[in-house]
Amino acid sequence: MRRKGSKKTAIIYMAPAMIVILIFLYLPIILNFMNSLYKWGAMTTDVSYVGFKYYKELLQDETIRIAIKNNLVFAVMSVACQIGLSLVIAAVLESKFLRRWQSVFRTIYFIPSLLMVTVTGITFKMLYSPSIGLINPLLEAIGIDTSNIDILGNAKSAIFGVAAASQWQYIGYTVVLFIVAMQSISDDIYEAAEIDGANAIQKFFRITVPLMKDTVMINMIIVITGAVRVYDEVYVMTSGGPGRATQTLATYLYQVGFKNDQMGYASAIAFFVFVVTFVLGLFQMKGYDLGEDD
Amino acid sequence: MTSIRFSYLKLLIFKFFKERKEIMKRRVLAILLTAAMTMGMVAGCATSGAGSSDSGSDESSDGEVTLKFLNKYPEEPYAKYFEDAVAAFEEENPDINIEMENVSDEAIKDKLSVIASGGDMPDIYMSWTGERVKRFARGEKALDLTPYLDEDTEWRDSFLPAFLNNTTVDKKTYAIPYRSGIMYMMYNKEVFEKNNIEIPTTWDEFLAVCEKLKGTDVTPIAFGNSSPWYASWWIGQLNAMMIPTDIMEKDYNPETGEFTDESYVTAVQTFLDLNDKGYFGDHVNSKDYYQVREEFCAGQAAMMLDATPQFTQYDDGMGAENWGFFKIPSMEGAKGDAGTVGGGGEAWLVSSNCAHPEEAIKFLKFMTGKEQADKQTKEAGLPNALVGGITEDNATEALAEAYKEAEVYTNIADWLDCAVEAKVADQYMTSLQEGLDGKSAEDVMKDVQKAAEEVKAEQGE
Repeated sequence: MRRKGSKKTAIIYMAPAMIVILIFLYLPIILNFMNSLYKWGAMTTDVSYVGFKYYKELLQDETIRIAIKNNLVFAVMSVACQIGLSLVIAAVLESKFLRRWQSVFRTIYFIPSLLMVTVTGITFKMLYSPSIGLINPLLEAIGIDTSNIDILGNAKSAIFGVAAASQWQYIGYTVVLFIVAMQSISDDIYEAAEIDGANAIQKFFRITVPLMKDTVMINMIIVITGAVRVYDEVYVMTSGGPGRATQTLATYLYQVGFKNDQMGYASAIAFFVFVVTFVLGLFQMKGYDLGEDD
Repeated sequence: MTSIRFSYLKLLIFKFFKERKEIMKRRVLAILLTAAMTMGMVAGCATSGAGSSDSGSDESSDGEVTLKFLNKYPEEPYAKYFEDAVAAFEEENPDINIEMENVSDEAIKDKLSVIASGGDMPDIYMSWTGERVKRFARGEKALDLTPYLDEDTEWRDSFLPAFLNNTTVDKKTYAIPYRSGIMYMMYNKEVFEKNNIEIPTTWDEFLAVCEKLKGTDVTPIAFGNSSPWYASWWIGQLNAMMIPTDIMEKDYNPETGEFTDESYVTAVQTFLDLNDKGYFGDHVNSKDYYQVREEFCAGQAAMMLDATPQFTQYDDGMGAENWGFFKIPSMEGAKGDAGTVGGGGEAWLVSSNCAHPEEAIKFLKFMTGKEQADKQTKEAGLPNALVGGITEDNATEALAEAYKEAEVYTNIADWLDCAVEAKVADQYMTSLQEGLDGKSAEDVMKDVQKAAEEVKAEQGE
């Protein structure tokens, strides 16, 4: 059975997977980096070497700054809602007095995440519209002057409008994930805490949250990387407008590459996004490690 | 399906291994299998990659030619007309098979860029006249059609010169115009009558009408800019009216564009004034063209800037007798060419790697021939681009009249987003959106100048 331990066999068996990973994962990253050093476009035939010009440009580009800010807004709002708020919702749904109705609420919360982003986007676009929407009349009904409120048409509020729609859609998804994790926590611990005189809030912070650390951590990383790559919500609702107010890294990349035909610069942006997600990925690995320590 | 096949394969391999005969044989087989699997995967991606490099037009064994045709009319009544036209052509030419794909207006701009980068250009595809044709020509994605036009001068001379000119770069024509569009101001007859308004012929009269209407419950002008191309129609028109022709020609060329002339700021200011004075109504950045057109058809707005191909939409939306149109009011003392009107055409290009250009030209000749062009205007309401192509026989009264009135115009200024280089156009539209949100006209033009400078520098490289 000399063959079993032989390196050659291992290599032969790993070769297909390795080759696929190399071709489809690492090669594009390297090619993309190389593309970012050239000035080229889909419509033009001339290709010329420009070195790191696009990276310098990237550092000075104001739109990139707007995009990073918007991605941050997305990340913060997503963590607050899809982690913070949905933990609370999950805990409430798991509490004794609501458990009977849990499946009803769970279904209601979960349904939006099954919808297509396009559907949610168009729906919210209509809801926000000051002329045909529902939000402005509602605000007016409670006595707020809405003449200056135009959520998606106003540069200052547009990104929050887009991000809010995304929260509405995905909150139910993490709620369900958290409920599943909560159900695996033994009732004995809660009983013991009750005997010790802990109230609901103490139980939540002292027992539920610490015991769900792994789930929370992993979800947090998924949510944050999602926020870095956010594209479709913005594209459907504002396509980066008004002006550049809701441009995110991904929508800007698309616009630069496919609308303005500056593929080299788009590749540089893509590489930048890769670096950001890669760093986040390192944190992700760290997150898994934490789980193994316990 | 695949998983079943794979487990079956595994079973076979295990069986084979269990027999434990010659070691060598096994080893060879293992290597072969791995190699086969790897090759299969690599080949799988290789073929999908290779498939995109040839343009997909294959001559099948019986000599039938298939041409891919990318068009932009998925909605009725247009879709039916084009389907019928393709069917009629195929019947006449049984050896040519046309595969038509229809993608909607906004989407086709993205789609064309994406497929251009992938190399899989359809044999025949549509684009707008002006820069949008020229960029395909510069990128060598479009076939030079001049020889075919020279060969058949009758065909060449049948097109309205203004539209054929806008598909021509350096005396080479790259696209065949099939749809023409000329901008007019639509108005609601009832609103005008109720408020005793006469049709304005000058810009000052036009502003006075707006001011008068502002006091009523209708919005003077229907305008929405959440899809920013609509503002580029306005600016394209205002630029044509207010900017000296030679300066505009210089600036619209990506190699020499600067946009530093003061009159550009004035044009933007004229446009922004309409918004600041409230003639556009509220919240223009969260409404789009289609929404405001609905509002206009519902009688909530008095006027709307639109072009001849959309005339049928107003007939359907509010009844032919309830709307009218007038020429864009002229501006006294403006420096632009009074004989120029905003508009633009749509044209078909033939891909530069089309394997059967003869057949493609045959198809284009059929589609733009007198007979089909008549049908196109009559059945789909899309005005053709032929000399004398719009008459009362094939078009609605309004459309025929619009083309008669257009005879005074000598030049067509393409929609701005089709007339200037993509990056400049994009910056123009983005900054105009910001302008409607409070940015000053000077700053809008500063952004455009910066973009034009970058484009110019890149052209020189």
